[in-house]
Amino acid sequence: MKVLILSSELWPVFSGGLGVAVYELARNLSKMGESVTVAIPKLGWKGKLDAEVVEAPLSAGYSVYFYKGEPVLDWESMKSIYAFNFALFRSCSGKRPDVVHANDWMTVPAAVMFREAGIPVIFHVHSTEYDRTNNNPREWVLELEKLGAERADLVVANSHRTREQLVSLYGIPPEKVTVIYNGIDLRKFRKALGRPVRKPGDRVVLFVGRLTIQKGVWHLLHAARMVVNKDPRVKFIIVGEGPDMPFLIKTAIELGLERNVVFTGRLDDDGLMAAYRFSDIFVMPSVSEPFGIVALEAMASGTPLIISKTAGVGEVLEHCFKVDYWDTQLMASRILEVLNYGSLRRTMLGNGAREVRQLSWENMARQFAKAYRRVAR
Amino acid sequence: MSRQVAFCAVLHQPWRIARYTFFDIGHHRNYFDDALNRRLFERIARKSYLPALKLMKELCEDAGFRVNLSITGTFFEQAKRYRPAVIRALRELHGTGGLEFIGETYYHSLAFLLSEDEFREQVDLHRKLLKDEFGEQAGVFRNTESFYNDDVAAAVERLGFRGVITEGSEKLLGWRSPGYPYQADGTGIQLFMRNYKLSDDIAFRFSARGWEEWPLTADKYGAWLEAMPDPFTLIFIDFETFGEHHWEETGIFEFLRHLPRKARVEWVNISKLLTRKFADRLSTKDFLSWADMDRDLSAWLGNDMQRSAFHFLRDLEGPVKAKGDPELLETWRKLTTSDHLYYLSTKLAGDEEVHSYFRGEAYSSPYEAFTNFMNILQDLRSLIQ
Repeated sequence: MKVLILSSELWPVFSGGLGVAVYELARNLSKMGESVTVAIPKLGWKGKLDAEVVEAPLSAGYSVYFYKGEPVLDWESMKSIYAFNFALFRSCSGKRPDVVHANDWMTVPAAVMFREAGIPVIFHVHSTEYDRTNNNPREWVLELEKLGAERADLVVANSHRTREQLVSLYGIPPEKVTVIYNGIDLRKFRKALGRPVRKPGDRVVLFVGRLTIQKGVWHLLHAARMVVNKDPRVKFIIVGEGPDMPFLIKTAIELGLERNVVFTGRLDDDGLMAAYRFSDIFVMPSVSEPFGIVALEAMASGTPLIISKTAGVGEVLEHCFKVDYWDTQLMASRILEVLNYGSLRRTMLGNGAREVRQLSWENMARQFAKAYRRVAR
Repeated sequence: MSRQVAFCAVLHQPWRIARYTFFDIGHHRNYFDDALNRRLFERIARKSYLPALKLMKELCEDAGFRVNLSITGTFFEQAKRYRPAVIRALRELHGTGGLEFIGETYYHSLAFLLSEDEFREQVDLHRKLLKDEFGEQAGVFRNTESFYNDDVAAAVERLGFRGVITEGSEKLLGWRSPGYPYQADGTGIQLFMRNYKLSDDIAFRFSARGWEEWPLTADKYGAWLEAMPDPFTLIFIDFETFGEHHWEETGIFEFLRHLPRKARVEWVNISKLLTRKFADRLSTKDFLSWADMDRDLSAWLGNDMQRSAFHFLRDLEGPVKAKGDPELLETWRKLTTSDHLYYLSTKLAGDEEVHSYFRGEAYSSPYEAFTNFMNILQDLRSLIQ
């Protein structure tokens, strides 16, 4: 079957959670014998205003189309986004795909054009505008999301939480939205397994994610203050960058945590593995989190978890703590408990390892292959 | 002679603990969630205890029914505090002469695994309760959750009981049928083996629409009891089977109302089955229980959290007793109740459903239950140092 995947990200070119999910999906579909093409923009390319698209083989099984457009593809500009989408449609329609798999709102216009041309479309929602903007959605983005969900033959949400949003906030009929969870590459994270290597007596709490308001690091810092009051040896490592970084550094200093909190910026894979290996506990304090792949990565790396009750990933994880992100005292209590009760840590990890084993990318790809056949008839 | 049936049920409520965080350690001793305990007790009293006890009283008076109850001390305390009408209903049932009490540990605890002293003291507390409240003495003993091995039989004999109820598991019975008098090897104790199939038909399967025997009627079940080849049958279930596990709408009360007349059997108080003529001797070093598919201790001591919490609890026994503070001792004993460890179970597969049902409204996860329990034990330890 010829599958065309439209995306704004693809690992390793850009790699948020979306980029990783698209990469793993394409790779595993190819392994299963599907013919897969991924179309993505190539940002920062100096080129003509007229969109141009080039093909690049990424791995043996599938190829990638890079869109080279405006000096910088501007996600805030509707004009720029439409130029990108027209280019996607023009250059990929010649491939006559059997099914188009569009990811999030950035590729909705192209998806609609394919649908008009009679090609079945699956709209895969990884997060909604409400999630990304802390409930201050931009109207035109909302309209694109709604359009994508309405016109698609089938909508796939990455969690029941996302699915409920699509039904209640966008008015999409529930029977049209199905849930397929993200997976995890267990082999990759096996490297991070094992006892932490560091000074005895040190205890490390880890956060990984973009430093934006919806990730809730501000709440974690307030919990950190309470933890450090009880045990000054505990260190907090904050991995990632983002617009809120200066504000969060300032907050840490105001809370008197400069000896206990380290901001590392963005880390490559090796650095990330080292961070997981180094840590006693992983905290995902998100205010809003459609799924939260990093929680699975932490679990696969043998790091016990505290996640926010808002995270979609909580639907597939039982063997962790779930707290309200605003309940910083309980968050702090849970951190101290995992650090202090060894049997808690061992029981969580033993059961958690079993839990993540069921969440493979192969499994996700198999579910999509079925969905493609459902819409292609 | 018609077949004999001993119908037994357990009445128990734990003192559920409150949310107690790491930051509460050393600050206060509000360990138990009074509001939660009250809410649950009142609800179950309304749906189960009161209507079922009243019905059993009528059946003992008019239909030749006999019932055997294992009533824990913590249940009695909560009934007194939250719904004294339950105690009145028990007294009325007792007044019919059809009720026999079964001995057990006052705190429905794992005291047997703590120390023989603590076990004896908790059994004595329960004896005192039966004597003070009902003027009765139990001749047959059932350890918490039917925990049993040879050592239990020996210890219970030293305490003066003549019989012990445990699980009619194949692990112990082998090819034998449960409904015969067995002797606990090396003692004079008579072992009463629960017929788990016939018990679970009521306790678990009664309202299961997918079950091939659904709906279970008093006629049908009565016929099964009559057709048993064994001289007697021991039914042992959770009392809340009536009205709480199976709601009134399932017809469970109507089932009970008609059963004594439909089944042509002799309903007996269990001590009537005591004999010296044993069918065989049984022995086991491994522990049995009536829980889950495994029917062992794994629901209470199966994971690392459960074992470490239990060891912590056990290590406090000496210091708590040395302190000589009766209130402190009572608090520690409330924490020995087996439910606190059961909530920490992370067993998977078919049993998880049962576990989360019982963990239910108290805690959302075994990890949360563990940290509350450990934080409280830490606080308790800080009080005796």
